[in-house]
Amino acid sequence: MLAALCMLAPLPGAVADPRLPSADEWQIKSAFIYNFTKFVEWPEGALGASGQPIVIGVLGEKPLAQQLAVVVAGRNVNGRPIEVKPVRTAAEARATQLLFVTAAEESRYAAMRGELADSPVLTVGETPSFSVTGAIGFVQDGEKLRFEINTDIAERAHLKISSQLQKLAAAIRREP
Amino acid sequence: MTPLRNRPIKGKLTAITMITSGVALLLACAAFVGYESMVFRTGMVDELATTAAIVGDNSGAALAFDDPDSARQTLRSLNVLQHIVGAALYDRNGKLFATYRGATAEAAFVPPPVQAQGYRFEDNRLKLFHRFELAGEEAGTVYIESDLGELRSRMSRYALIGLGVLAVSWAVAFLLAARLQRAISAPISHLALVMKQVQARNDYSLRAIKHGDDELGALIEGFNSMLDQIRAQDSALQEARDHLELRVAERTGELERTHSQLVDASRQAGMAEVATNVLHNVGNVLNSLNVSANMVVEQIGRSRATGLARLVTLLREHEHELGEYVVHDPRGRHVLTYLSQLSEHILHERDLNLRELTSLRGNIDHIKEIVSMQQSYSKVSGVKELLQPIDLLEDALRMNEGALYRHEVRIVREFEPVPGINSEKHKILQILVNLLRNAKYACCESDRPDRCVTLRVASGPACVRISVADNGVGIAPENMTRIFAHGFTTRRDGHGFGLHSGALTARELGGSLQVFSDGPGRGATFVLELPIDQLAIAAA
Repeated sequence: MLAALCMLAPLPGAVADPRLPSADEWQIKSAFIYNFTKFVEWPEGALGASGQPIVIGVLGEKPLAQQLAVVVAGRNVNGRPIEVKPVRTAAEARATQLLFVTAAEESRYAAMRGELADSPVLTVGETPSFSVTGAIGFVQDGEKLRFEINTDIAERAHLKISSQLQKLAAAIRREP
Repeated sequence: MTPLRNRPIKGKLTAITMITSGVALLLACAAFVGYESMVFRTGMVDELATTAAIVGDNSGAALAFDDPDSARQTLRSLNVLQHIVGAALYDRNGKLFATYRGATAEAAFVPPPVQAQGYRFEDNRLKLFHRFELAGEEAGTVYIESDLGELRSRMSRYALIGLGVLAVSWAVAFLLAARLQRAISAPISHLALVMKQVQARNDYSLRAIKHGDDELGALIEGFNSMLDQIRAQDSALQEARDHLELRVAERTGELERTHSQLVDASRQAGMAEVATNVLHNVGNVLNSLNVSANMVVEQIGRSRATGLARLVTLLREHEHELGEYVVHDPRGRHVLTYLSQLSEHILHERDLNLRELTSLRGNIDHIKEIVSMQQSYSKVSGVKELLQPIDLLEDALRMNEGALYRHEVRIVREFEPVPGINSEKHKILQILVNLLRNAKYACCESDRPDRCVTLRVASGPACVRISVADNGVGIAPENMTRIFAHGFTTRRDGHGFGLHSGALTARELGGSLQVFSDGPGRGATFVLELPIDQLAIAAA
């Protein structure tokens, strides 16, 4: 899988900020984020007309959003291209289909969480604790990157998470 | 095994039915098994493709999130399918991601390098690659290998069922054929049987029984009508034959009548021949007889008896002085001399006459014999007596003596002593007289002055050979073969009977008469051979 992800390797020097995750780690996370879109079913009307892109919003450092954009460039899910946008406000967040929240921005997420609760946005966070308030949170299991799913939050957002994905989850959470 | 063409029709029909139905069944079974195999293979491929698709669908997440354990778990679910030997999962770049080995796999399963979507039957396995997508994107490849044990066991089961069906169908077909072929074979067998009976008994009144109105019926009808025709022709032939016999009998009757007429005619002709014979032989003897009679008449005409009468008159004139006259008278002295001369003369005359008269009597006896012989002509065997050939020849000469003498024919005798023969005197005599007369005639015809007939008597092998050879006119070669034929003659006044009769008689006596001549003017020799009777020799 690592080798597969190497194919998507970003330009060298893109990672400069020491607070940001390493390039390899971020690449794997980017691939996961992209792959999540394949196992989630949005409610009718949430994706717009066919051919309209799936928008991934990034709440965090701009370079991360740029790197993710490189990873998903030229790929599509069920005929829809992937678009990556940086997000700052709740309104901006509601306009996305998937909102990725970096570890540093989790506090901002907590502030706008109330406004997002009913919106069909799959929320993905960088830390294991994120799955308490978001739908999916990454978990580091030794060498391996894994994730936890909070099905109740996904349901509240009118999202169906595929059983395959649930099967791969390190843990399934319910209401906090 | 008898070739099919020599077997009876019954066997042929059964064999044809069995072969046909057997081949048809075999073909049907083969088609059935072949079709089943094809269907089963297609089914297997479909099933395996479906399985591969399910595995692919369920492995998408594992591949996407790099979780080989989950993928292996998914693959392990294949263990419910016993025939799957092994399976493998490759990522979208063709790298091996997870492997599954079936529990029953006899050999270790080694996943092959990834290939394009498709399947192939290979090494008694079905190998299938399935590429799958996830959310419209290529996600990876599933490889499944299935063994064909089930296909094989199913095919062998089908083959077994097919053979069973074949055997049962064949048995049923045999029973049916045995029953149904009678419709054809029975009339033919019947026809063949009737034909054999007709042949064996030569009885054309037999008829075959018609079974139906098909070609066989027509055949039997034709056979029967042929028999009818043969029978009709047979009876026509029989009638013709009977008729023919009648006509033959008629013809035979006619022939018999003709034959008896011919026999009568020939008998009359035979009588004429006999008459000719008699007249001829009698004529010969009459010639000699005539000569003898003439000589006696001449002799008596010249008799000196008148001289005696004159002497008696002279003596009567001198009746009284008879002694004186005889002693003294000059004329009277000659009386005694004359008387003695006269008596001598008369004695001589008497002797001559006596001889001629004896010959005359012999000839008359001969005529008598000829006549009596011809009277008993049918009696082949005449009186046989012991005869001396030389005496017979002399007798014959004597009978012709006058003629031979008159024509100045010299007779030469070359006689050897021969034994007597036991035969019929007059028959031989007739032959010899004839031969002598012919010889004399032949001599007279020629102009030569030294007419000569040579008579020879000699003994041959068991026979006596009497030959009469003349130096007369001879016989032309072309006449040599005809000389003994009845009616052939070279003489102006001849009958053509003498030699014919002579040859017949010689044969009758067990001998032969042959002729030899060197040609015209060189004389001819007739040879009469007569058998020596051995008994007669012993008696002599």
